Amino acid sequence: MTQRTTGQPQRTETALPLTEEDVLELLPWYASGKTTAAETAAIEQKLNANPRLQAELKLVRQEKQISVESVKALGEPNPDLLNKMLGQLDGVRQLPPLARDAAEAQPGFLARLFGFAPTPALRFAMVAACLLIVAESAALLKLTGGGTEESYQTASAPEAATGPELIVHFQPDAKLSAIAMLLSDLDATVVKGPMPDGAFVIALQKDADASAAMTVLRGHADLVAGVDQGS
Amino acid sequence: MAGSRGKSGDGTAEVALLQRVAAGDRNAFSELYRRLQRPLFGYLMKLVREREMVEDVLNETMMEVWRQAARFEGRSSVNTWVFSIAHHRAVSRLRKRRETALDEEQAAAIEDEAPTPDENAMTGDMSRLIGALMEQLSFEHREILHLAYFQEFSVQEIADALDLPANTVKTRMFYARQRLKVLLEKSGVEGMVA
Repeated sequence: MTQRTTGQPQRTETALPLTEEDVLELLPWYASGKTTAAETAAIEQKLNANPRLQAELKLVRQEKQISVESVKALGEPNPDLLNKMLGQLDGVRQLPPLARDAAEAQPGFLARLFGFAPTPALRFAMVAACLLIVAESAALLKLTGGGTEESYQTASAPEAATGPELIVHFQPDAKLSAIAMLLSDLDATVVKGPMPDGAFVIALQKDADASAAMTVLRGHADLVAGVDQGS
Repeated sequence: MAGSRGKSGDGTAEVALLQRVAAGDRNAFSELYRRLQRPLFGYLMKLVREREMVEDVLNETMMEVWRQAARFEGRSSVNTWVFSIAHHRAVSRLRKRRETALDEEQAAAIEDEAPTPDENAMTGDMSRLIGALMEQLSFEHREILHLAYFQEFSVQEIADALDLPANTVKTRMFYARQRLKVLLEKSGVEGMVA
């Protein structure tokens, strides 16, 4: 397994039993010094005896150099962008940290997305239902599994919204991460669902404009199949 | 920034900055942006390509960093966390433009755009050819090449940023390079595909 390393490749006495195909896969990271010491040793062992791999490494280094030069040629972002962003910060509400107890209980992605920690039975039902509406089943299972990496914790907070409720049908092929981001944009949490018809009830913030939120949701036709006013 | 050009060590400085951002410190936000702007801009330019849209996505990404700073749990580096946000924002923008991952039909069209052997001979410049062909790869393949080559992310850092299994990262990179070789062959460069 490749690990996070920041230095140059390091030698070690123990080389992994890598195949030529393994080495081919790892060469781009070897060229950046991002392979582990064991991987590096195994790669170098193979490289020394294999002209094909040596040629491949040469090509990797060429691709890398081209990649670096192509980005340098792109220039830099507009220098006024920072001032523009600083002017926007007052209008952006900062979310509070996740409650430590909740985090330690590993409620996982669903708790953050749905605004409450489901019981095991309910969680199973939610996952099963979500599997019907979300194409990324592998990603969903990973996200709902305790203790896994969640690189983009966008989903809404346990601090559940208490404002107007909307009934939302998501598109069958909508990606969970995209749904989470949309709900995050609206400061909304899923408070109920899936209903027998597959719908979810989402709650907006207390002072939110339900009509405006419905317009936003309908504008994401790739994610939202339908939206109605809730209770 | 760990793992990106303009590195600043092991990422502890970014974690400290993010904690200050979470407390509403605008100076920390500015400093974090200064550290991230070039790697993020390069990344988004490779994905989105249109400068105006890139700056919009960069803006959205940093606003999300401001919003979510207190939610950062340190399960990945600050760098990969921010790139993950940028990735999702870019995908969302492109989806709205109906320019998500290329389907087979689009891929076929792109093959037709590859320089011909004659054009290749005219330029006589392998590096320029490879660079041009890299730009013709799919969104996913451009992204993985950029993260590995330019940002110098490890397999695990890319897996964190894109929410993919590490093995998928390696195979995606492999197929991105294979695709590049196929395009090179179509451009008249022989012996690229084993």
